[in-house]
Amino acid sequence: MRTLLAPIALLALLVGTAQAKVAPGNPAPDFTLPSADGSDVSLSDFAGKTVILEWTNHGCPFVQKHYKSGNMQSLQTRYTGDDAVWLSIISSAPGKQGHVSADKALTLTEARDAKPTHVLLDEDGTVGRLYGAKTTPHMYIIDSDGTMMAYMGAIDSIPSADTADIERATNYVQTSMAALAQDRLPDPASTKPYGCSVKY
Amino acid sequence: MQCLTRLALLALALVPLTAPAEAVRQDHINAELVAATTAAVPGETLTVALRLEPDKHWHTYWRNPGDSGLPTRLRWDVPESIEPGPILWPFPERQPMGPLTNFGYSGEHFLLTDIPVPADFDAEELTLDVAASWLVCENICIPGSADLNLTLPVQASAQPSQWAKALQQTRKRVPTPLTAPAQFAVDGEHLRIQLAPDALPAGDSLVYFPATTELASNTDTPVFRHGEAVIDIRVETSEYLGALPKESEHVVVINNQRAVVFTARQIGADALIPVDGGSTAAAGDASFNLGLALVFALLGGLILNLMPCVFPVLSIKAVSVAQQSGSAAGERRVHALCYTAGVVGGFLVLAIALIALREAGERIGWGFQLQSPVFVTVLAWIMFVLGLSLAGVFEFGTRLMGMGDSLTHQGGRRGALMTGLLACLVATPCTAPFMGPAMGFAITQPAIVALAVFAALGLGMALPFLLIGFVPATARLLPRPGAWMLTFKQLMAFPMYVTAIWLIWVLGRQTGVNGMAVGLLGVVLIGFAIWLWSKRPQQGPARVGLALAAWLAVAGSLAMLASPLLQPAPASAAPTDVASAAGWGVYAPDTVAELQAKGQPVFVNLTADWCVTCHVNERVALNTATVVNAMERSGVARLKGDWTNRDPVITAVLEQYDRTGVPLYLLYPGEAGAAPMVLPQILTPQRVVDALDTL
Repeated sequence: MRTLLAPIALLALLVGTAQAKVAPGNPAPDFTLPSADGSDVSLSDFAGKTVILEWTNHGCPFVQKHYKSGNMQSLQTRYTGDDAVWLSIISSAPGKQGHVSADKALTLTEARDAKPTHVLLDEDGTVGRLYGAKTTPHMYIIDSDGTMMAYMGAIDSIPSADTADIERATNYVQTSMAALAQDRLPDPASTKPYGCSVKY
Repeated sequence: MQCLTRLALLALALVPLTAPAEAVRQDHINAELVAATTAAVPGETLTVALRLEPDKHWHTYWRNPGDSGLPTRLRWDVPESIEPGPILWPFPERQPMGPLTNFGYSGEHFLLTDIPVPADFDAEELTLDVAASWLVCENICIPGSADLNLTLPVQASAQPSQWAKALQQTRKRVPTPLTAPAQFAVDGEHLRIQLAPDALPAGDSLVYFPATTELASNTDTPVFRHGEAVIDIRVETSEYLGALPKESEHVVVINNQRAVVFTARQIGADALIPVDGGSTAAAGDASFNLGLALVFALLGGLILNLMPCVFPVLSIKAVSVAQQSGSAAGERRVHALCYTAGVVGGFLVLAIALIALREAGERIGWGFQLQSPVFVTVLAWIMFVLGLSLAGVFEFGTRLMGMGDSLTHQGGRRGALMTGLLACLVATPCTAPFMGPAMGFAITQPAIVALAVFAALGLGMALPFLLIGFVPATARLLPRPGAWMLTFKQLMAFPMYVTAIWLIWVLGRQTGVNGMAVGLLGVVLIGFAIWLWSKRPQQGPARVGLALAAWLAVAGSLAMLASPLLQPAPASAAPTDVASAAGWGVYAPDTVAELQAKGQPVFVNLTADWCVTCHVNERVALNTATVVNAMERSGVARLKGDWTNRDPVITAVLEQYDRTGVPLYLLYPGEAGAAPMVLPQILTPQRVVDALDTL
């Protein structure tokens, strides 16, 4: 199927595993985290599916911009299903802003009518650091073929906390998913993320 | 919201009476619009500032906010005749936060804006409204915004306000522009920025801030190295580094008191100046140095003799060498030296012109003289005249230019000098192997170093003839003079005519058929002048009349050089059709980026019609079935960039790869932003196929 991406992913596997640098075209490192619903979730569980990672922090105004407007929820609804999985990851350390218990995470999801496949708790920040997550939101898209990193960076093109900017901005999750659906590589494949710093 | 308002009112109540009433208190920050003077004076510049006062441990951000954060923004709403300048950002402080580093301000700070008040500004008051927005952070971040305003009386003179001193202090921290030239390159994992050695004070505490975002890592601590020839700043590249910008902005803070800002021009990594004299100074660094450049230039000059463009002139030289082989050893030496002086002198003159024009800001490279249709026309005429002379149609008088003197036995020294000069001129469309890196290096160096490299190039080219002149053994290898020489001389006229035709063709490509017609008309006029000259009787008024007529014809052809028809045609006119032929697309940096992003490899051929090496490469390699098939198999897109006429875009690309001229062949892998492989200047089908195999 993804004739273009497969050889690159294979090459990346051969060349890249030693350095394991998280970058577009390189394989996405596997991880296992507890989910708010009590199960353990691994990236490798979703082999063959496109995986969207969303670093989040409910106290961050930049995250609130995308939840209060319903933007994040509509992306989640659109990109979860048979072919794609959405994982929201909380890397805030205990005592820092955005750190939540599993129960609180579930309550937040329900209250905001969010639709992620899983909310994952990364209390010690291992996975956040592994992926180099810098801000909330910070988005990563992992392609179904060869679990290759296809996109990483900002959620959209206008770095602001102003809800009014959502409509004017180019949404990089949408453009990347559209590119992957057409067997193309996302362009841009990497952008500078914006938002609050992840509270490791 | 109500609570906020109440908080603001409370804050207002606490503000001293002297402060304007517009100061606002928002989450963890005070914001206010202030002015340096008590009034606005028509004809003078008013300094205003956004005063921000975040709570203790909180901060706002600089123009480049760093890893997270957002720069503060101002949107002015002012009377029509008033145009506020940009924010004058004082230098920031580094704000490390775990794995991130941001750049911003804590404590009370001011963002200055200069506002010129027109001399004819006619109002009692000036009201400035501004919508300010910022991000204020401690461990958490709060976006804030406020509509602020300031009303000042308009008066003939003004007093310093209570803020005057603070704003003056801030202005000292606004980076001042540095005029010294600067360059930057990506060297492996590092960004390296280089400045002249006296651009920054040595021994002072220097702190670097990247003003251009997504270029340098914000977290890495930059290393300053003071070499004898350069100040080198090395910092890891940003992980978001995409396509390199042509120019980038950088700020250096000196002793935490003042700062400078400068713009650096992008260069190739191998054009970086080695940091000598420094401690860790590039010991194992294979960077180019003067010695290597001179050796390369010498070799390049030597190889130039084998390049197709020099052949016609070598034929003149061959004739003169053949003639001299019977003459005394001393005379041969003088001839060799004169020829060398001509070649070296020619290269020096061209080098000085090139350096002077580049200093004046022209984006030109080697071979620039052939981008001038007038130069091409004159060169074509010279070739034609020389051809006629070799063919024996006429003999140059000893007083006429001296150009053909080498063809007679007398005045041969001047002739040898002129031949050398001509050899240099004709060699310029060629870039030989070794020449490219040497000249690319030379261009970035001080003038004296550049001239030394160009002189070495000339010396290399003259070397075979020096050898013949000074080593009698080699001269003995040459055939004895005899009657065969006349035949040989006449035969050599034909390469001259062919060269003239080639140059007229180049002229046609540059200017179109009208320009070409002007060039050919000049050929006829010059032929006419020569005929008139040869018809002069020995003496009498007819001799003077015919000579005058001949000179008039020459003057007429020279006058035609001023014709507007000899102007380069619009860039789009000629080159496209040649590019689209044989499956070549038109080169543009954006096209390469687009194709790469789609995963398609790209072969870029930068060429010019006057570049003989380029044509030969196309014939023997690029357009052969082997190469075309290999390219199609590898799915390579082929793009051709035409430098026949001046093209700053292509000149910039050449500079990027340390070249000053064409040809340049680049093979880009089909990955977004991947750097290309640079192919040699002399191509064979096998070399191209080998390169394609690496994709």
